[in-house]
Amino acid sequence: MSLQELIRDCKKKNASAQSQLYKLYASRLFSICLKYSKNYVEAEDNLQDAFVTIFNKIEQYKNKGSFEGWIKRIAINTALKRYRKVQVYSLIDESAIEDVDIEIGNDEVDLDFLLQIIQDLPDRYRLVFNLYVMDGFSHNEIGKMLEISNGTSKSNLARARMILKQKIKDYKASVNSQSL
Amino acid sequence: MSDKKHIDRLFQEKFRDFDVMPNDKLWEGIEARLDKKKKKQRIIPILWKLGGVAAVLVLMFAIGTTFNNTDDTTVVADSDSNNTEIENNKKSDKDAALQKENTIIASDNLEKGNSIKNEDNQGKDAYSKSPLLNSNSSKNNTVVAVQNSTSTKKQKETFSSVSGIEPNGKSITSTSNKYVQKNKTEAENKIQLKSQEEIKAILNSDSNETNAVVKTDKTVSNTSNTEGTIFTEISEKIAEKDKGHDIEEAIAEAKTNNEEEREIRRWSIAPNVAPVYFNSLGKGSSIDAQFDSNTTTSDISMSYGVKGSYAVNNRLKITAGINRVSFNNTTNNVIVLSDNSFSANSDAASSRLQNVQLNSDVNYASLMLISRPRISQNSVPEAINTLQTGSLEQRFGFIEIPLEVEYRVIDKKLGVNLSGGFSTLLLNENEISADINGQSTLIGVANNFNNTSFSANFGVGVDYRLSEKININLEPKFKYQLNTFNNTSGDFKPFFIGVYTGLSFKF
Repeated sequence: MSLQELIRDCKKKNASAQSQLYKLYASRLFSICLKYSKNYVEAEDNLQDAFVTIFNKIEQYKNKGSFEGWIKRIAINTALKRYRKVQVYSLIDESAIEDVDIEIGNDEVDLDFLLQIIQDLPDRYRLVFNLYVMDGFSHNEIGKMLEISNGTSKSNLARARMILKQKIKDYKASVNSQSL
Repeated sequence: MSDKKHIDRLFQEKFRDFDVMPNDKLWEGIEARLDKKKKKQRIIPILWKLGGVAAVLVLMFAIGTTFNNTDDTTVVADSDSNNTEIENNKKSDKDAALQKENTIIASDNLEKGNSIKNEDNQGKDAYSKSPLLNSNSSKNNTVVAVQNSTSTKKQKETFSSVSGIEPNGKSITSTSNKYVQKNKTEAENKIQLKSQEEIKAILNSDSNETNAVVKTDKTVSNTSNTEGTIFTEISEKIAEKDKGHDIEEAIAEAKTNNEEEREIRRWSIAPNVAPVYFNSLGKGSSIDAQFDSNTTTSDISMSYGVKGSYAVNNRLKITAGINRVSFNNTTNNVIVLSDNSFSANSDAASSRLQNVQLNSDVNYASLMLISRPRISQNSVPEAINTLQTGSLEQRFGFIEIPLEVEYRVIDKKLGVNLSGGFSTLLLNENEISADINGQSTLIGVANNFNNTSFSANFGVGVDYRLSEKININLEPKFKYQLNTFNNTSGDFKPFFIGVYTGLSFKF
């Protein structure tokens, strides 16, 4: 069965087509949800919500543009909806941070650890970082999606990078000290 | 710089092939939520349909019996109380509908309660099976904890099994397993917190402990099978709980609910006014055979009321309503004599009019009503021939309860409907007055009305959509009265026509 047929059957609310579509995309969407969510449990919640939205709104997909892009966008939006309004507790002026290149050593770092530190970022930093770095949205687009200014998006990204860099640095230090 | 790279690049490269299969049980949760929506959409319209039909039937029955029990003389005076009664009936119908809903909700809760009970029992089973758990901790916590350990165990299993299949097997297996372990405590804490309240409630409601124990025994053998469902139930519940906290989502949900309503919008209510005109298809009289050949005239009077409708589908609507309607019908060319000189003529006037019951204050002996066309010029005294002819005016009114089916022929901004059905007519006004010496005098009431009668209705309606919610209607209707009068003479076939106009509000 082609993807087109599968989508057509899902529009008819065919249960087995829905199940097949889920199997096809569950892992790809779950990895998005893991990156955008606070933790594993919330990622599961977001994935569920995203699929429920996908199946309820699938008539709105008019076969224009990639289907995977469409459902990824729904998964991202589901996470944005959950975290967008949560305020970032920030004592510093958000627009004051310059976006400097942050470079780190090219040593092997655990993927598991990287995911953990992404999830540990404050909500807005995590969203901006994912949108910009992982999914290639511009600051302009991010600003609109999160209802923040361009400058805020830029400074959130810079803050996120700094936090991540610091954590990687600490992690490496602890690994090194253990190996010593 | 060669060993250094931008942090963005590090993450991009690391996550390029990041692909994690979620727990299998997650799909069941999604499926359940999709099913739930489907079921909801199906059940509610059926209930509304049944409720609507039941309400109409009860309303008609109640009013019908009330009117049948009252006698002629009290009907007129009772019209107001009847109105209020109708309102009361409406209210009680609403109450009945509410009660229905309540019982449904209750049964729903019962179901939920049962499933929760089961879950509870399963929890206990698992508890008795796992010696690792601290038996000193409180009951509530252990139940939750066991469920959590089951779920996380499952999670782990599926994780490793799935990642084993992946082409990039090794790295992912290690990653995801570690990941689960790290999250395990966090997840556990979370679930524990969230479901603790629920479990407490469950335990409280689970007063019949012995019963529960019996059930536990039964379910022991099933424990391994039910472990999975515990997790899905929990995850579903968590999803639901989270929803409650997420204001934005609640708003979004409310929005989608609105959308759904817009799609359905099956109910409408339409206050209406209509000029109505009463007449008979054939020559005849409802008052007395002697007036069969007299001409009759009717004034156009007003009917007003309200109707509600339920759309079964895009084309078909069931409508019911209530209208107040009154008519007058004047029999012309009647010689009315009221003179004591006729008192000798002891053939009391009342006996001459077969269907009129004269008021007690009318002097029977002195009143004579004669149809002019019936008397030949020669056979009566000159005195009568020179008298001015007057008229006999009959006024009557009904509470009309129409029940109709409407079919939409053209479904556009300007729509056309055909409607057909019947009305129950409840008599609430009845009087006959005679034009005596140029003065209209109430002489009595017609005694041949049925208190409850019916009419067959046909109509063609045109409506124009002013907005999503409001239509303006124009509907000429023909209503043929089936058994309003008893004992009529000649070819008396009463009907009335009305042009019903009004606004209808959809919701």
